[in-house]
Amino acid sequence: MRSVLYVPANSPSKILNAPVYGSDSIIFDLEDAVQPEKKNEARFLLQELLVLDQYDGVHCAVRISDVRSPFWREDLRMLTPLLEASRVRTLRVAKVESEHDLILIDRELGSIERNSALEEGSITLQALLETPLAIEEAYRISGACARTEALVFGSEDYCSATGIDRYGSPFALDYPRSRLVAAAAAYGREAYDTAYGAFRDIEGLEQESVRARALGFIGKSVIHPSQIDVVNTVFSVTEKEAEWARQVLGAGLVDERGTGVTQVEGMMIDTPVISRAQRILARAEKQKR
Amino acid sequence: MEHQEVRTKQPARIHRTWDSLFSLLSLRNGMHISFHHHLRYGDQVVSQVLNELAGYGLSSLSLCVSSIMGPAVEAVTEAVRTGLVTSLETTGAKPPLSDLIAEGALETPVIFRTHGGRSRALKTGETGIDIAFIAASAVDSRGACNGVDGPNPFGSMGYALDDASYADVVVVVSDYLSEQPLSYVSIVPEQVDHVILIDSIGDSSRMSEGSLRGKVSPLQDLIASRTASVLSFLGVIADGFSYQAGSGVISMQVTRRIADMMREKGITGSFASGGITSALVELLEQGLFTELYDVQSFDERAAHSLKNNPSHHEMSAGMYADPTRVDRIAGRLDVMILSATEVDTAFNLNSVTGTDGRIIGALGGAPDTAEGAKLTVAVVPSMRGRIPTIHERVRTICTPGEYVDIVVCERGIAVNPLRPGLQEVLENSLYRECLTDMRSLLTITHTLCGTPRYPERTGPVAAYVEKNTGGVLDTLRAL
Amino acid sequence: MKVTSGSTEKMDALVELDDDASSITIDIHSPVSSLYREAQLRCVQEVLEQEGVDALAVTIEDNHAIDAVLRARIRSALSELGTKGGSV
Repeated sequence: MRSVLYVPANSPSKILNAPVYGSDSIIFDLEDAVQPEKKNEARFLLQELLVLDQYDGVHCAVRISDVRSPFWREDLRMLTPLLEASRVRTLRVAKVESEHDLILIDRELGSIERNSALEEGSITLQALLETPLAIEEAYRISGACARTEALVFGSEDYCSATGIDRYGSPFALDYPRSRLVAAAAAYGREAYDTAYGAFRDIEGLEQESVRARALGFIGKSVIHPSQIDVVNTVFSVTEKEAEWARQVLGAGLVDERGTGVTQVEGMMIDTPVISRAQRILARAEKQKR
Repeated sequence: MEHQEVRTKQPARIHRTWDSLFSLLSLRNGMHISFHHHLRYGDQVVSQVLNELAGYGLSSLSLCVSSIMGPAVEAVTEAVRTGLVTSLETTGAKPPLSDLIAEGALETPVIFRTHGGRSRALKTGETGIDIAFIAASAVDSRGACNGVDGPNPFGSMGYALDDASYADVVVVVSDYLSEQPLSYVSIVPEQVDHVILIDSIGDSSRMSEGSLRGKVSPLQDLIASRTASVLSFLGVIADGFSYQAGSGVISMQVTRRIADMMREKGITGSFASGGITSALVELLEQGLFTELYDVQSFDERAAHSLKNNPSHHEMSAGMYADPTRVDRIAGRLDVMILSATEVDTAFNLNSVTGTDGRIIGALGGAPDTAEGAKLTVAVVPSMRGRIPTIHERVRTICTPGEYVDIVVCERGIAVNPLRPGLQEVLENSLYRECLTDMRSLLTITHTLCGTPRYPERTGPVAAYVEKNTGGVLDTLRAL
Repeated sequence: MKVTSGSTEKMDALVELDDDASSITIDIHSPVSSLYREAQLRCVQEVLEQEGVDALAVTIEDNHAIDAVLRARIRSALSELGTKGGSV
């Protein structure tokens, strides 16, 4: 996914309009976007709206509250019908700080899957890493459970704790970003970058997105529809990249085991490069769909 | 200035009281009178004139007006209630007047005409004006007048120009008598019979209230951006192109998006036309368009530009949109962007009634420009709240579907089957992803919202929607 | 006991339930009544029937909510009544 649009889970108009904006994924936010006394309303709203035809084929995710909150169990319980119907495929867990956070949720989801017709492990998780502790624990979090598909960077709490001004320098958050990407890659997970809060600053968003891509993120959270086009463009596989990947894979360089060592355009091609080319084409294919 | 016939060789009589004026007019019950609506929400002339005519003991008047809005709505509503006015020809109406119309409160069905249709009907004599009361922001002692000088400049007198040409008697109503002959003249002295000077014609600073609708939502911007992008792909946005857009939020955002593209690519359009806003004036001043043709000015900056910029031209409703004129501006447009309250599967547009049948809008010049333009694009949200915009059949046909080429909404782009070439071009482009058809849009929106059920109106005919070429296009019945 | 759910924002409905009632009464204020009144009533009645409710005063301030939103708001209000020990 290149772009992941956050939508408050208690706003009917925003939920109903969300599919038209062209983001690759929509994440309905039950956590920070909904006040505690309104969480139940929001859960019922998602139950009723996400079964509508217009969400067929739309990648829907839900951000649930962290395991230290009193809300996450009820979030999961109320989302069960949507998970069972595969209307929601992914849960983004807020404020993950240790592998145990994910293990707890993994167990609950396993129970949901066993009590329904869902294949074990089919509900995927994204772990939102928002604090310095979370970033330091990123490697263990990444390996905590098999259903984790991605690590996601959330910068606001991180900046608050460290005193970093994220808008002060394009390199200010290179360390947590790189650490997260490495931890994700170590277990074959994807990595998504943090949302850019200044939604009218499209130029700033583009610069940050370019930097995030260069650091290894494959997509980014967005908080406003106006951000989607820029993020989709930056994180798209370009035709040039796809052509390079096709050259690497199509020039008879790959034997039946997928290995070989030769060169394309002056660059030595070996197994890791071939893997990279394969990932690029897989992403390019996904973009078309 | 357009050619204006010499109607009278007598110099205009200047009056300072209504009695003085009325003593020289052949006032009678049942006569046809007219007003323009250029002062829009700042107008005080309609209410004053109707008040004075009522005080004179008149009744059963027929109003032939270019439109009714702002304070004029209340004034005409009251006039209908008291029987001062029993017949009405206009381009649209708003509550509470429109509710009276829908109840069948007038003696004869209202006739809704387009701006071009009104001009045509005046020219052919299908309708007539006994006395035209024409508000002017400035008049001189000869009787020449304009809308650009004086304390309440409102800009173009486009709709009034036809009234001045075709009315039996022309009365200019103004609050400013220029000591010197006016240098900018909209209506020549030879077309003016009387001038009456009053304390105030209204407040031109209120002109733009209510008509130019505000902030752009992400959904509206999506529709506008998609429209601009498609037009650019089709090659419409090119040097020398001519353009007009309605006054709705999405239409105006399309204009902004197109202007951005023009700046980026160094494109200069030939002209923009219609209702002129300060935004269009800015594009003229930036050199993005060579000329503006103004049938009505929407704000004071537009009024100022009309007076001072030789590339900003006043045009009559006839020059703008009379369908019998081969030189009409509407027929020279490359692209027209318009909105609608409803669209149906045959691409017909409704702009006068809501889905519940309530009269809430107007024909304006949209059907004229839709017919004349090479490419007409309707920009609409697929739903407004719970109410679908797309229907099997619109409640009231205002712009026939044969004139509408493309409908753009947030759920996709639909091309009129009457334009198979256009469909093919878009199918073979990256826009194929958002191509859809009206039937699919209908299904999607009615599934989400439910199909609205409304009471059929089976009462007597309350109003006719007239084709711009004459003849009935659709009928509104009372409840 | 009275509970509320929802809001008066566009495409939402503010639902108030009062279980101090001897039968079901439904009072809907809506700008789209002329088009959707029957559908709105039917929607409310269906939810109450599904939830086994036979006595409740339902007041709705609607602002263009589609049926799915109405259902959600009624169900969450019913859930709150149940949680707070109401008689539903």
